[in-house]
Order: sequence, then C-alpha cells, then structure tokens
Amino acid sequence: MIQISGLSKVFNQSRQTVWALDHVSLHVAPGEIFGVVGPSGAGKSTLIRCVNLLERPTAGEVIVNGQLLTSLPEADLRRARQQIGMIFQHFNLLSSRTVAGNVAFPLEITGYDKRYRQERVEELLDLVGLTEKAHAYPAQLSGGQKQRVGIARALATEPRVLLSDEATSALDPQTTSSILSLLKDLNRRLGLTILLITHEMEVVKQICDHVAILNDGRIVEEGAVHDLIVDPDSRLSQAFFPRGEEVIHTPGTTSAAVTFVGKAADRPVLASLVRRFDIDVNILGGSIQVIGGRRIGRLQIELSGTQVPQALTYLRETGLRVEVK
Amino acid sequence: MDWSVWIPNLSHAALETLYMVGVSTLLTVVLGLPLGVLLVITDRNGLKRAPALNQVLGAVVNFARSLPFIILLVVVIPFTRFVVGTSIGSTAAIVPLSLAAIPFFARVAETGLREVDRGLVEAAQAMGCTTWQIIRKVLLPEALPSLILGIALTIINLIGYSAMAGVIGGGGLGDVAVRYGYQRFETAVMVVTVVLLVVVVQGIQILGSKLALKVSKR
Ligand SMILES: Nc1ncnc2c1ncn2[C@@H]1O[C@H](COP(=O)(O)OP(=O)(O)OP(=O)(O)O)[C@@H](O)[C@H]1O
Ligand SMILES: [Mg+2]
Repeated sequence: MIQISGLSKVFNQSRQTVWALDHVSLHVAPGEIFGVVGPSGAGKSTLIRCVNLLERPTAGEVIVNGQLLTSLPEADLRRARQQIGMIFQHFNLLSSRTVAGNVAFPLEITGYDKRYRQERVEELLDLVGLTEKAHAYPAQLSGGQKQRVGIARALATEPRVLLSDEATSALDPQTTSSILSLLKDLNRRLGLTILLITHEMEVVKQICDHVAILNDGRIVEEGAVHDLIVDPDSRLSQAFFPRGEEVIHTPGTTSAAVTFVGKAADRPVLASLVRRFDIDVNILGGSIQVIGGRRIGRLQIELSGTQVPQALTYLRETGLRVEVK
Repeated sequence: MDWSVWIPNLSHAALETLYMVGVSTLLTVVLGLPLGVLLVITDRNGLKRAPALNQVLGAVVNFARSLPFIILLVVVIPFTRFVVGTSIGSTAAIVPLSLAAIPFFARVAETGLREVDRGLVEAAQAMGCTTWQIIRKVLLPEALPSLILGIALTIINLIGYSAMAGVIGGGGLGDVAVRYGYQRFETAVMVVTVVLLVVVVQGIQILGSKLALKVSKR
C-alpha cells in the first residue's frame, strides 16, 4: 500500500548539511498499522511528510496506492493527496469553521455537492462519536475531541491510507488510549492502512502490527511487533523489558532470561519446573505486558542444582524463549 | 453664529468626507488585499515562491508608505487628472487617498495573513488544495478578524488624510475645521467638527473591534 525505496532527505542549513533521512526503505502492507518510532530529531516527521510529498525528498521513490507519487505532476499529486488522509499532533483544525465545517472541508475541495457533504459529515461525526458537537467551534473542544474531528476530516474522502504525525502526543494517557482504540477500530472496520509516527512506546504496544525504529535518519530495526518483542536482543523488546542494571551474578548459578508469550504467560511454568527437576529457582526480576492484545512476560531467573541443563531444555520445549547468559 | 446656515454646511461636509473615505476604503480593500496576499505567498517560504517579485512589491510598498501624504497629494496630480479627468474636488481626492491607503492596508493584511498557523496551510496542502483554495478557504477566513481590525484602522487613517484633501478642493469635515475654525476663528465650528471627527473615529474603532471579536471563534 505504501512503498518507500531509497528515500533520502538532505537539509542544507547555513553551514552544515543534515541528512534527515538516509536511504530509508520500507513497505506498509494493506490493512496494516505500521509504526515508526525513534528519538527526537531522528527524522520521523520528515519521513511521514515525504510520504505525501509535503516535503520533497532529495532522492528515492514513494509509491502509495500503486501511484508513484514522486513522479506525478502537481495536479495529479493533488488528486492523489485527496486519497491519503492525514492527522496531526496539533490537530490543525480551521478555527473559523465549526466541527461540521471542518469535516466538510476536504469534501468541498474534492467538489462534492452540498447534499452529499451533509450526509457524509453526519456519517463521519457518528463514526467518531461527535454528533452532538457538529455546530461547536474547535476552540470549544477538548484535545481528544479535536483529534476526533481531525480523524473524521481525514477520512471524509474515504482514503485507504491514513498518515498520523504524533497524533496522540499532545493528549493525556487516557485520551491517547481512546484515540488509539478509535484508530484500531477504523483499521479493522474500514481496512484502513495506517502509517503512524510516534515517540511513545505505548502507541506501538497498543495498536501497531509492524514497527520500524528510526535513528539518525536510518532504520535500525524493522519487523512485526510480535516477532521483535519475543526476541530479547531486539531494541523493541529492550525498550519494553529493560535489562536494568546488571544483577550481580551468584557464583555456581546459571542466569537466564525467559520470555513468555500468549498462553504460556498464564501457566505456572516455574512451579512445575521446580517440582520436576532437582533445581532451585531464584527470580531476579520480571514484568508482564499486554502488547498488541497479547500477554508477553519476561522473567530474569537464576537456576542452581544438578539438573539445570534438563530444566532449560524443558522450558524451551514448553514453547518459551530462554536466553542463557 | 447662525446654526441654520451651519447645519446644512456641516452636513454637506460630512457627506463629502463619507464619500471620499467610503470610496477610498472600498478601493483600498479591493486592491490592497490582493497585494497583501501576494506579499505573503511570493515570500521565500510562501506558497508560490517568487523572490524577485516579492522584493519589487515590498520596495514599492515601502516607498509609497514613506511618502508624506501631503506630498503624495501633489505628486499624483497628473495621474489623478488622467484617471478622473480633473485634479480638484472630492472625486479627485479619492485617487491620492487610495494610493496612500493601499500600501498601508497591504502591510496590515500581510501581517494578519502571516499570523495564520502554518499547520493549517500544511493540512490543506495534505488534503490536496490548490493555492487558490488555500487563500480563499484557509488564509482569508482564518485572518478575517485581523483583516477587519485592519480595515477599521485604514478607515481611521483615511479620515485623517481626508482632512488634508482641502488642499485640492476635496472638501469634507477636516477642510471645514481648517478653513472656518482655524483661518476665520469660528471656534464653535472648529469644536463641532472636531467633536464630530472624534466621535466618528471612536465609533469606527469600537465597531471594528466588536465585529472582529464576533467573527473570531478562537
Ligand atoms: N525544514 C528543515 N530545515 C532544516 N532542517 C530540518 C528541517 N526539518 C527538519 N530538519 C532536521 O532534520 C532532522 C529530523 O527532523 P524531524 O523533524 O524529522 O525529527 P523527528 O524525528 O520528527 O523529531 P521529533 O520527535 O522531535 O519531532 C533534525 O535534525 C532537524 O533539525
Ligand atoms: Mg516530529
């Protein structure tokens, strides 16, 4: 649905040149929620702005909906943009228009007649749960409500792709959560493909299928969230399960990181481990998180006794990932 | 002091002021607003970058604004004659009045338009708006409160300028104040015209602020 190849963006500032994006390539499959995370200044905003060419890439290609945007003449590019929704950190609603007027805006641009616009606006406000605010002005809304208007506006022309530039970064955790659920719901119901950038791991955890980590203009890690999360060496899993300070290793013991995924996280694996083998288990730390709707746990344990190798094999056989240090 | 003579005199002068200022304001907005828009969009970071044009326009506007009105009034006499066929009278005064107010209003409009959040323009671009659509549906409506205040300010300036229109026989309240009040020591006439002018200027300021507040939904 979105194919980015060899994308580079160079900013020439007064004395230095900044490679905001350095040969970035990624593919967003239809119906997927793809997150791009990274620290401040990594080039996230530049990346998403290059997708609809708000920013002209220095090099590389962008294909959206099968159209090579980077080679389109201006008029065609405008038409292509009408099929790509976008939402923003600061909402960017017209203060002079009511909620309904804002949602109708892209429909006016596209040239739909008034009757259709009215029907569609009603539908959209219903979709985002703001029907009773139709005649309010943006200044009278809360942040979460404003973003709902932003979402309704972005979806007005029935785009198949939604770009989200830090859409929840100006919102409190609770509101963030409700906006993310709305996005997930739209993704499922409309088959909407979403490319979102964020600096909040929380967002990845709640709704992303796929994630790319951007650092200094380069993608340093990319993959399906559930694959990365169970790989203790991935940056993503380290972000969710920080190793913390190195625990002082007790001589004569084996320390291991055990990752529980799905059902395994609910079973009393350790208890049966101690019962079956001649070992002692000491828990050094751990946490359980819900990521992409699945429970994932990580335990840091120390094993001692005569049957440690057998115990580790048993753990692996039950479907857990075990990393021995 | 014979008020039965003065009242028709004053109302005639008031009508002349109304005519000069009214028509000049109209012309100023019709010509100055596009100029202001041009100044904004041809800018380095504008929607339709044209640095050369931008610099030329900026220089012309600055030049016109640096000219004292009383000098402009005289300098443009040939032009005035060319446009309206005569260089004296209320109609003739409209030409220099507008020429003085257009660059002023263009700058005021420019400032107001620049205050529109860049994010809004960006959102409109992301939706596939043409430059014209962005001007008409984003920049102008969002800047409307500042534009209204700018128009009020322009009218007040024009009333001030119009007092000098007597030089080319434009008439008006200011002219009455100068000719009768000052030159012929009719203090009462002077006071009445000054009070009238003050009331009108205050009224326009208040009206402008009220209207701007009313259309502002921020
Ligand atoms: N218009 C510009 N001119 C010059 N440099 C720019 C411009 N836009 C971005 N940059 C530079 O490009 C780099 C990437 O910026 P970008 O805004 O994409 O980062 P980001 O990942 O979105 O950061 P944040 O999380 O703080 O929003 C930064 O070093 C920034 O200074
Ligand atoms: Mg950013």
